Amino acid sequence: MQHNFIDYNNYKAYSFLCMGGLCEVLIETVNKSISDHIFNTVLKEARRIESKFSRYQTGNIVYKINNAQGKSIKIDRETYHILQFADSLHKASFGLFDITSGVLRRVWTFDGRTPAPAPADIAPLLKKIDWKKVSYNKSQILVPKDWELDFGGLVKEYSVDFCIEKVKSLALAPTLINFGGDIAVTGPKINNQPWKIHVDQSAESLLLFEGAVATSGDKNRYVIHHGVRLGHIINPKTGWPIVGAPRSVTVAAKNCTQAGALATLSLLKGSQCEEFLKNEADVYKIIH
Amino acid sequence: MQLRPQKRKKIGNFLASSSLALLCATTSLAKDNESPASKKNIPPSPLTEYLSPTTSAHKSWAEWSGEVGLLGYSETKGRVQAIEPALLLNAKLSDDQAWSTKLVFDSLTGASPNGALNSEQPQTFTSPSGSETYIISPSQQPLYNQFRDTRINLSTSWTAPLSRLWKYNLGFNGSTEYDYLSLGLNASLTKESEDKNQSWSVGLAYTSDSINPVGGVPTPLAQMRSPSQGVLRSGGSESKVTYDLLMGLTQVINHRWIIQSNVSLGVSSGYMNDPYKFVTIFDDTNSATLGNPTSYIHEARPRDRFKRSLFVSSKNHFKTGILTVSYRYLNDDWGLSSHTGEASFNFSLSHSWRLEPSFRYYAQSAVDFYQLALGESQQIPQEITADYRLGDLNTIAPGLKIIRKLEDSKELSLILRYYQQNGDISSFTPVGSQIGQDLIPKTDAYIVQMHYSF
Amino acid sequence: MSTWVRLSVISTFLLNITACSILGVRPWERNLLSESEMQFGTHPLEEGFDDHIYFSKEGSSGGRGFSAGGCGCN
Repeated sequence: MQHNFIDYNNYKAYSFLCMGGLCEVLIETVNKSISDHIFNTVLKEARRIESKFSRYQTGNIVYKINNAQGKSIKIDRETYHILQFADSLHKASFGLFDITSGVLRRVWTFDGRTPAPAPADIAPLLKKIDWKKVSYNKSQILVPKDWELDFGGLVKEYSVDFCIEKVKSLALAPTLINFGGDIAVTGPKINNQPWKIHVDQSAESLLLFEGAVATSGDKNRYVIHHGVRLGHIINPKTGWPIVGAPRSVTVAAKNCTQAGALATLSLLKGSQCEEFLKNEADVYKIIH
Repeated sequence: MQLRPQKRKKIGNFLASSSLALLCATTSLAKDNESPASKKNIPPSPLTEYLSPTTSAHKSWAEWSGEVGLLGYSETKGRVQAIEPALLLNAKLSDDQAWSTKLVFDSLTGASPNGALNSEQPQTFTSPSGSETYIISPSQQPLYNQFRDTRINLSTSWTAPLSRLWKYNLGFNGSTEYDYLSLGLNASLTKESEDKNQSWSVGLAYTSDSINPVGGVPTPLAQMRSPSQGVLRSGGSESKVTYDLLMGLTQVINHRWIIQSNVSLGVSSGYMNDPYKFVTIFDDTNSATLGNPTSYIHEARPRDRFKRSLFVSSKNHFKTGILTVSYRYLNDDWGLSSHTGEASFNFSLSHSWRLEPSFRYYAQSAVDFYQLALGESQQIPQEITADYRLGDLNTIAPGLKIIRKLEDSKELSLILRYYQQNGDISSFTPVGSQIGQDLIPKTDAYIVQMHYSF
Repeated sequence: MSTWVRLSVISTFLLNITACSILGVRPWERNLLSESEMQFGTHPLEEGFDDHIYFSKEGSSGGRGFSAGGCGCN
């Protein structure tokens, strides 16, 4: 298995590359066979979910849906529930969170080097973005021809929750998992101590007894346009990144999916981000 | 101190319940205790049927795919014609294991050059069976009829992961025809890099061939004798063993460019002659009969061959289409060296139609023991062949592939290709009656392929 | 230097370059690479037919992968 392992005696730290970034698993135990078992559980599920929902793999459910050419595709229960959640996010954001915005990747590349596309390139794609035109039920999904679904905004947080639930059910040792900034814990550490989460570029740390933390922002994926740094969260109505939002938002909640949803939704509010978080989130941190 | 109004958290609560609904449904959360407040908002979750997150409603034992193909090959001037139907089946099993099998039928008719030189005189040859003769008209290229009727080739392979980044492949290959049997095994190991941008592989193959020529194995360098005299044979069958080593690297350069490079080494030992081919011995001293064939001898090739080749291929995705360019350099210890260059450009005509024009160029320099024909006064060397396929030659092959994409990743394609080969006989000086004869080996063929992949 | 040695040197050089991780893409940049026309070996029957024809008409064989078996042609 290609992963890094460091033994800190009381802690075991594992890291591996997954879902486009560095993933870490911290386990508070002196017993390596326990930590190995926990880590392998996490690794297996992370890879499973990554490969199932990745846009860049041929043959998986996302590939089939995006290449269906207007025909209906069979889906499984897990995919159905994720679609249900995407639907909730669409409602909660009044249409700004829309997973049919996948087509925009044909013109946007957020590597900091590629320039922003011209409005003429974006305009024809906007016609292919409308979650309401997607129909699905427990076993099938029908997406219009040449549209693209992108589960990227959901999958990382979902996989964090999925993995932490599996680890919780093992009930072996306190564990923290961190998939590129999306974090969840099984519970407090031994002796009821909280996990200390350091939010990037901030002097304070977050003390986490239970639940999860998610971060959304433009740290890694951005475009420089006329000297201005634009994040990768795109407004599906305009095809252009949200203007006026803070650089990054960190939210803590009961689970990572919820925390991530709050963070993303708050950024979609642009300059109203802080107002939104004040009203809807319990614990959050904004970096401008 | 101001009393802060209770946060209404309408959206926050909605998200809390939606996310819990998702997780309840996909993990076995139900047993865990939720706080009483949020319990009210959780919709009933369809839980119990969800025994394990990895089960899906449509789990099948294997994912099947494959391809049927048909090749039609036709050389001009009554030479070789072939029809080859083929079937490929792939089964993808759980845990990234895959099994693949290919079956090809090959049906050949027509005639092939027998190595002898054109002459202004009619020529008589003993057939490969040794029991008949056939006559070639003046100035006609000496050809013998293919009696190999059907060849069947079956290959099968198994791929499975060894660990997350390593996988192995084991394969078997067998082919049989009227006078030839080939059996082989191969194994390879592949390693992918952590970021999947690079992949290395190394493979080994072992092949054992046995040939039972019609009429037995002719003694190399022996003269062709008439049926009444009886052809000299050195046995009923012969064999050959080959070991191949292949090392490959695939590398992603950037998001539009990927390259592949292979180094191959191959060692063969055993019988490598073509039992049906001759070398013309001609009169190079008497002015009256200068250039006329006087006898024919069976060819003799070395019993060992060491081949090495370097192959590179590049695929580049441009806005208008995909350009694939590849080059192979090969040389061996028989003195042969060759350059192969291929290029193709795949672009879309419409949503489901694609076109791929291509071009292949091949240039080969002869093996050391290649001679178009041998003069009588010259000493017969230990190794000699007049098989045009081992001489100096170059070929061009322009082609066009028409692709129709169907639903569900199925695809139909039609390939049309023209193949032209020209030998280079500048190292041979024609004498006497040879002057004016068309001695240049040529091959001209039309190829049609149809494929359906599912 | 013989052509063979020259080419081996070039290919070793290329291999060393590619061993560095300056080349490559992030997982989210794989959209073009995942198209079937950008992958090697996606048409095994077509390659098998072509290789068989060229192998039986020329003195060279293989290079792309393991040759699919003998037929006594060359």
